[in-house]
Order: sequence, then structure tokens, then C-alpha cells
Amino acid sequence: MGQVLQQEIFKFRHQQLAWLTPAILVLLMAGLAMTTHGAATSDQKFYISSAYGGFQWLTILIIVIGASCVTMEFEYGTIKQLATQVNHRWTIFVGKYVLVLGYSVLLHGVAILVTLLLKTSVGRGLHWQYIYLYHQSLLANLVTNALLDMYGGVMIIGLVFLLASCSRNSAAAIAIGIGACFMGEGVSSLLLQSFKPLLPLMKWNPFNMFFLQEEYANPSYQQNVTHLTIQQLSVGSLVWALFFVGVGAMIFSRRRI
Amino acid sequence: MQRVQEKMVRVVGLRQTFGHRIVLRDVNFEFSAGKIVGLVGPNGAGKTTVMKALLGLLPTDAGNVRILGQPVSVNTHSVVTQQVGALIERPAIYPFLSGWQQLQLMTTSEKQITWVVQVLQMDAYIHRAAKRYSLGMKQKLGIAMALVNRPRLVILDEPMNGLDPQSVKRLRHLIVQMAGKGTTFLISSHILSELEKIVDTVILIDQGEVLLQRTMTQLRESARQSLVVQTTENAWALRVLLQADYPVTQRVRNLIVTKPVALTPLLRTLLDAHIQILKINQYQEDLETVLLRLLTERKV
Repeated sequence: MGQVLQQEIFKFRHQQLAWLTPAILVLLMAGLAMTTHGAATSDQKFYISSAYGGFQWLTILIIVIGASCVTMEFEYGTIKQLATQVNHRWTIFVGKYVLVLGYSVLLHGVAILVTLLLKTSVGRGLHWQYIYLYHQSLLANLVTNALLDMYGGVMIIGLVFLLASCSRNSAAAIAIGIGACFMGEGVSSLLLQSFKPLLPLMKWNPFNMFFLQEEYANPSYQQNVTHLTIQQLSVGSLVWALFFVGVGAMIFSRRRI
Repeated sequence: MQRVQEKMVRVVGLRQTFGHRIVLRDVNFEFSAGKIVGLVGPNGAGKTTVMKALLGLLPTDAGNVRILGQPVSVNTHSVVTQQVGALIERPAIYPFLSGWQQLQLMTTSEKQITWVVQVLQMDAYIHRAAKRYSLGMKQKLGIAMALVNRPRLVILDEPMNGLDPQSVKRLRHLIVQMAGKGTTFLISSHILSELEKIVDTVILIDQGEVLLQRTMTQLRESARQSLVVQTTENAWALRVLLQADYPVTQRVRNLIVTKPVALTPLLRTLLDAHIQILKINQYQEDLETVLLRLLTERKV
């Protein structure tokens, strides 16, 4: 596994996308930060704690990277070479998953750092020690949001990997991944409202787990939307992530090459 | 005491179907270490499928594959990871990496990389991004990736594709050289004239079936020989030779003696009949003709 991961890191750091992504993220965050100039204090707090939209942009970028990371092996025909170098093909899949998770952690770090820098110019009037949600400081909110987003990403990346393992082209996996990520919450709400008798079962649907971060920011979601506690959402998210990665690895291993 | 040669590859009863299509039917063959084996057959015969099965890339319906006595399947192929290098279908290349970086993915030994780059004369472009490579350059890189670890078995699927004549010659030389040092090669190629120059053994496959496995010596022996004679009076010469019981036919301006015969008595027969001989050539079937004949005979 160590050798597979080393190879994946080697390949990844030689791809333009690896170096371009942080630059795109910084530009997008800076763009949003510019628009917050002169906004109300409460809005400014929200933007800062959400890394000037960085966490949302980051999710899209990670979906693109995750999907292309898997499908490129089939697109370039390199999967044949890789498969002869390992005893079990699923190790390639898991190696790639670990790489993208690691990269997600790195990007979250970048998002926090950039937020710190942007605040010094755009949100100069606000102190990091200002109390925001849960009676915690603004900085604590930013870090908590980053951690929750990273944690939620474990399931999203798993889902994208599963979709990518079924596809030879990254476009389909990217489109479905982004669709699921941004419309999944709506789909889940609709399901829970439409099939009330099935609520005890339906509340465990994977799209409901996307509400993890929102429920942290808005505890009333537990009663009105998800019908699950933060802890239950965390466990559900992890179980679904394991399921997606497991099924994805199985499909990846059995695909005809 | 006779030295027992180590079996490099042993394939027994290999069967494979894709849907309703039978791709391999009870494929059996084996060969020893240090040999250069040619896997030949028409398009869609099953050559690449056999090679994929040898590499453990393909789950098979029945049969078994062994390399150096160790079993090979999709789930068990440690012998492949350690002892086999391969180029299957098209070179497996990441366009964003340079040739050198691709080779770094295969081995950590810079010495090995330098060796393979030099021996295949890739120095001029090895540090260039692979997306800027021509077809021939990519093919060479694919071959280099198969050879760089100096594996005991090298499987090459159509290695001459896209190579210029000089590179083909250099590759031929390299293969013979490496085989001399104990590396075994299994090579599929459509360019039989090129394969003929290096292989020890030929495995002929058609419609998923191994039709024959012969050494080149055996194939040369089974190649038909004929004598082409041109005289000033072909019609008269034909009658004379037929009367003398020679197996002869007339084709355009030539007389063809279809079996190997002693030359002196034949010439004497013609000269005794006062026939002037203009030209005489001996012709032997090449590998391509022999194999095509065998394929046609089987279909008939």
C-alpha cells in the first residue's frame, strides 16, 4: 500500500491540476471577500467562519480531482500497468482515495490560511475573539467548520470514487457528484417529507448526511429537517463513506481491462 | 545427464467467453526459460486475451496459468509483479509525465533507467512530456517500461508498431541479446518477417484455439520447397520432365517443380533433350506463407 500511495503522490504532484487548484481556490475566495466589503457585522462573521465560501468551492474542486484521478487510469490505459504491479487491484483504489483525502486536508489548511490573510484586509474591524455560534470565538467557528467540511468530504469523495469507478470518462462522475452534493440535501428533505411513515428508515439515506455542517450551524435542523443528532449524522456519514469506498473498490477491481 | 530446462510458462485448458462469444477454447501451451516465443494469428484470434490471462488481468472461465511454477490469476499474481514486464495493446503512458518520470514509476534504480534509455536510444526526448511524443516514441517508452526492471519474462504485444526500421533492428538485437542472458520473451506481431528473424518457437492461434506450437527448425523443415525453371521451350520441357516423372506444372513463363529434387539429374534430363535453360531458382516458403497455408488448410 505504501508503494501505491507513493506512486499516486508522485503522479499527482506532476499534474497541473494539483498546483492550479489552490490558486483557483484563493482567487475564488478573494473574489467573494471583495464583495463583503462594507457588509453588516453578522454577515461578515458568517463569511469569515465559512472561509469566504472556500469550503464550498473546495468541495467542487475535490470532486473534479477525485473523479479524474480514478477515470484517468482507464482513459490512458495505464490501469493495465498498475494492475500488474500490485497483488490486489483494490489497493490502487484505496491508495487514490487516501491521496485525495490528504489533498482535501491540505486544501482546508490553505482555505483557513487564506481566510486569515483576507480578514486582515477585508474584515479588519472584526476580532478573532468575537463570539459567534455556540458561544465560541470566530476563529473556533472557522476551524470547526473546516473540520466538519473535511469530515463530510470523506463521504462525498467516497461517492465520487464509486461513480468514477463505474465510468471511463470523468465528466459523468463530476456531473453526478456535483449534482448529488448540491441537490442531495433537497432530495433528502423531499424524501423525508413525502414518505413520513418510512421516516425511521429514510432518515438514514446518504443525502441526509450532507446536513452535518448545517445542523452544527443550526441545531433546529435536528427537529425540522434531518431527524438525526449530530452524532448520528457523523456515524451515518462514516458508514456511508465506508460503503461507497467498499463498493467502489469492488467495481474497480472487477472492471474489465 | 540431460539438463532439465525450467518451464517459464505453462498454460493448461484455458477457456474464456465474453457474453456468448467464445474467445479462448481450451488453450494449452508451454515454453522454457530463455526462449523467444512468437504468438501469431489473425486479428481477433485471441492473442491479447492470452497475454492478459498470463498477466492476471483477466478472470478466466476455466484452466490455469503458471509462470515459473507459480499460479497466476486476477487475485494471485505475485510472480507477475516480481518477474514479468509487459506491453499490452498500447503503451500505458501518463501524458503529463516525461518519459523519465514514467520509468521512475517502474523502478527506483536510476542505473536501470539510464541503461534502458541508452539501449533504446531515447536520450534526446526522455525528459520531454509524453504528450509531445510521436507514436514511435510512445511505443519505445512502452517497451522501455516493460524492460527496465530486467524481468525474467517479457510479454510484448505488437512491439514493432510505429517503430522505424532502425528502431526495429535495434529492438531485435536487444531482444536476442537479453534472451542470450536468460530473459524469456513472448511476442505477438503481425510483421511475421520481423518475428521470423528472432523467435525460437511459434505458437499459432486462431479463433481462440492453439493450432500449433513448433520450433523454427520444425517450421523450416515443413516449409515447402520448389524449383522455378525457365527454358527457351517450356512446353517441350514440361513434357520431357513429366515423362521423367518429375512433379512439374507450368505457370505463365515458368515451370514449377513442386517438390525438392536433386538438381543435377533434372538438368541432365533437360540438356539431353537439347533444351536451353534460361533461368533456375530455388524457392522456399517463408514463415508467413507457411502459417497462412496452415491456416487455410485448417479452414478447408
